[in-house]
Amino acid sequence: MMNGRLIKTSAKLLRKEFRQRELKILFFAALVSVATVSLVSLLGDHLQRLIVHSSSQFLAADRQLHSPRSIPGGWLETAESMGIETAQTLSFASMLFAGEQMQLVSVKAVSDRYPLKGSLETALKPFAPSVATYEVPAPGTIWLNPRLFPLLSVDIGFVVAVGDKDFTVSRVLNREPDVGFGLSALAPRVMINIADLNATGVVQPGSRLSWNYLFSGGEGALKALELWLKPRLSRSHKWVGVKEGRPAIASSIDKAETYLLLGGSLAVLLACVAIAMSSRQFAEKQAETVALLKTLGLKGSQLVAIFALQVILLGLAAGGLGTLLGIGGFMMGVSSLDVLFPELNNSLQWHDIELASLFVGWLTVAIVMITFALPPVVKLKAVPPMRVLRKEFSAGAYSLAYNGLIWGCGATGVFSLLYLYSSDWTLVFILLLAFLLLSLLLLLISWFVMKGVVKGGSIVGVRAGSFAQLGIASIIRRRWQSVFQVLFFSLALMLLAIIYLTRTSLLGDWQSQLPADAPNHFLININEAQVSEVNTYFDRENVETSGLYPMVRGRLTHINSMPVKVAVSKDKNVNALNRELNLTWAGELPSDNVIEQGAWWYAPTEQEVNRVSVESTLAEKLNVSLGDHLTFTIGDQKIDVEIQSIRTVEWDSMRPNFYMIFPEGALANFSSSYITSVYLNPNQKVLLNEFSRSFPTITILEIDQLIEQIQTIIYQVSSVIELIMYLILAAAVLVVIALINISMGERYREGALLRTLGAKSKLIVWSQFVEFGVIGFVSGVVAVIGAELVVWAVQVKLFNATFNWHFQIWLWLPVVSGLLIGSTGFYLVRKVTTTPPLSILRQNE
Amino acid sequence: MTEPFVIKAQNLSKRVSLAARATARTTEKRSLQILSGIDLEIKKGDSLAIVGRSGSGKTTLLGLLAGLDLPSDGAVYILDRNLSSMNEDQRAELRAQYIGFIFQSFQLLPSLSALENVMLPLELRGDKRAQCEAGEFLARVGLAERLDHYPHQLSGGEQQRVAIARAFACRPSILFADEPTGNLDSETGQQVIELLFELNQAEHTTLVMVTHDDSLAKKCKHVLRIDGGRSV
Repeated sequence: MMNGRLIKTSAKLLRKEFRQRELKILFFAALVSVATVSLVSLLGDHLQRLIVHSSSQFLAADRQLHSPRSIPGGWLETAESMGIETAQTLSFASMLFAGEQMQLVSVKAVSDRYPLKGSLETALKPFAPSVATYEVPAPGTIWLNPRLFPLLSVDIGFVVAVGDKDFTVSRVLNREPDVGFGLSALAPRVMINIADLNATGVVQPGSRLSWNYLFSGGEGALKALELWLKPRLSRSHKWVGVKEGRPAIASSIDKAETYLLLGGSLAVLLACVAIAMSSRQFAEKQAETVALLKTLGLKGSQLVAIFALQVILLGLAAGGLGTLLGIGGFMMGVSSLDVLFPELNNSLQWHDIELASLFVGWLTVAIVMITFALPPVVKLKAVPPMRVLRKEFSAGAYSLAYNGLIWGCGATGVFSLLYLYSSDWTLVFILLLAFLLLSLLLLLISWFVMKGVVKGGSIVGVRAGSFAQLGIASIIRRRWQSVFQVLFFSLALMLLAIIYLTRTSLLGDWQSQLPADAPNHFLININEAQVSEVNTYFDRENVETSGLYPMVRGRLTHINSMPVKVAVSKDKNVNALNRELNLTWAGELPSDNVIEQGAWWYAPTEQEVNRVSVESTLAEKLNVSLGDHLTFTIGDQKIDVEIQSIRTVEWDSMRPNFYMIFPEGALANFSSSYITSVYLNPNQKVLLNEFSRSFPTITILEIDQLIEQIQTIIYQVSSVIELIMYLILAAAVLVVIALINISMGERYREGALLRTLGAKSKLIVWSQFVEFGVIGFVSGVVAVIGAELVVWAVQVKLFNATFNWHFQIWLWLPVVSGLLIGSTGFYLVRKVTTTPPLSILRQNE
Repeated sequence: MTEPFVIKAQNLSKRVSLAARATARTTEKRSLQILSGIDLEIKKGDSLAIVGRSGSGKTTLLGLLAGLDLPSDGAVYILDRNLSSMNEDQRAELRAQYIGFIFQSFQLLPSLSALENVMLPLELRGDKRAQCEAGEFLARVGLAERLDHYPHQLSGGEQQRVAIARAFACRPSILFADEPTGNLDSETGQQVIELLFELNQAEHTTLVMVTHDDSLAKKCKHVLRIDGGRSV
């Protein structure tokens, strides 16, 4: 069927006819699809690499195995035999002796290869700047947390003891990669070499120890090790992987990847619409050429082969160029992402680009061209040769079966693409269902709005002047075409608006929840005697605290006299039942808490102290309400309290917040510590040194770096997402051009006819501007309605966030789309004013 | 010895269905009889003009004789082969081997130059000398200087000359021409017709031409008048 001369003819005709707008739209839409998918795929892979890298730093390895006791030696040997590096750490509480003084510390004994990933931060003097350190304490030496130096009155070179062994203090230990954050009390850390462990004599049978085994190697080897280990692990073992290692960062990067994927899918779907429309139009325009070629002796199958090959050639060109554009966009995007992780080092190399990621782009263009561009071309076979003599001879209207085939192919293409990107059938069905429902809704809205335009516009048109009248008359004459144009324009604009709003909204919401001066340091383990001194200290330094809150550790044991394990189903997985809670008391309701049910207590009587206020999400999980009784065990005592109020809490405010708040005096008999949070700007951080010296027992958690990193992640990832937005914009523009182009032939003829009847060129082009401008404006209005609906659904129903109207787009989107679409129509139809009317009319005979 | 018939038509008829009309009692299926009972025979090397008023069925007859359409009744034979018994691919093959066309609206591909338009059928049949032969024919029709010009850069007469060159370049046995001067002024039309007959004689082609111009019809050896779908 396909031989050299057909290939040559096909390529020649394609090269010659590429000036046709339909072919250009087809090509550029395919190009946008490939570029988008390649970019998203490459970025997705890179983001996953960043997660792995980031988590590895946090774990000090690629994987960790936590164990309450030492594991059989054979396990480590097996890991080493698989080419995996191993290291060990052992943590336990012990006393550290310095002369007459002693302090409870957390001892970490580490093997020589620790850490396998990341580095320690140490200094040669307390409170001096840190340096990255890749070695561990030499046997006989010890590294101390900076707090211990003033606490025990020691310095570098001093001798201290752990158990039976003396150690020389050789460095200050400022940070370990795998320390994590937690609000539970942290004893100051000391680090020794694991070779010195036995000599301390501290580790005895029955000692409470925490063994950590670290593993680092290739992904394949690690997976093999995990498979080998799993059957050998007991319930007390915990295997920690990449995502568990840094859940917050991994989760935010995962969300960014999903956002990219969805955005990319939308761009591709829009491109598919443009391809479907332009390929159908291209096929219709080829009817005469096909008839002529049949008179020259070509068979139907040969003709299909010629045009199918043109589609393939276009696909190949789009695939090649699109891949290059995708790689280019990726290199640009990566350079901004890697600012977050400088230790990932080096600029991206060509060999870092995964071929599998690029394959997705090629697969996309293949699916898109086969399912959207080919079917109309195949129909060309049916064009009768008699058409060269009589234009009324055509391939015939698309039969039901053929229409079914076209739609079926299109649907298959869409399903395949969405599944290719998401690997999740549920998500595919939900997306498509949402898309269909939304399209129906938009169609309804478009129809009603256009009805109003038609009714009102005919009056305005008569008064406004003849080109406005002509433009409105054209809308009325092509009512259904106009409605469908509004539907498709508004769909494209709506998708663009959703992406824009979601990105802006997320950024804005996060920023408003976390203002620039939100507390960025937590202070814990403040004892009662220190409260006024701490307040005095910060008052003197002009630093505002979020208030000092007392804290007592207690465990919830009963709900309405029923044990919690019975009262609450295990399926609910309520973490608060598996650990001690931080209980506090307050006379005033904390500023970022809001009472949902019940009432706050003011000056409670002695009988009223046995009350509690519960946080709303916990109350829902525990299935408790006002009047229910909760029993807590604090130390060796039990207290029973009644729920007086349920309140909401702003957990992201960076202020101390509590699930359970009691009235003042309710927990007076229990020893407590205090907690507070403060905001320190970079210049004020030096206060921490003085504060630590003045209050060595108070633990300071510096979360400013974490906040800064998350902020940077959000901004950097959003700049990457902007790339996707531009691609969606490109796809939307192509859809707009394809839609306008459908009626161009008819408009040229009308314009030529009007000119022969005496109409001026200005009248014709400005009437087109009015017609498309009105359609564009209406599309903008419909798009805004649709976008607000979708964003509301996503924010309120999916993310439980607050919905805010986006009034800014109510104004500029309709105006901009009116101008944009009006101008496009104006530009595309201007040819009718420069071409002699007779030649246009003759062309269309 | 009698010259063999190149084209033969027997009792040729053509009906087309119209949209059904619903009446009070029934839905009538309607049809329009375009041609009825046409018989003709054309010998090799002859020229036949089919003349008649607008709407008489001339172009429909031309289409049937060329195998571009199938009759409702009767049969058409080209070189002793019954077109109705052939499928579309077989008819396409026949056209490729034996038949050339000239159309009223020229039917040049607008994206191809004059040379490329004439080369097209030659390339499709794998002629390695396509460019050379196309250039020769364009020179024969007086367009040697216009090889690289596109149809929109040529006048109507020049475009028709290109179409004539394209038709003759394949050296067809039979040439069908549908109102070849219909879109041209009389002077240009005259020039085109002279060229057409000159080439026809030189190439010994059998010519079947549809025209409403009696003076043009007189140039042909035979004339078939059609009126109301019947020969008169």
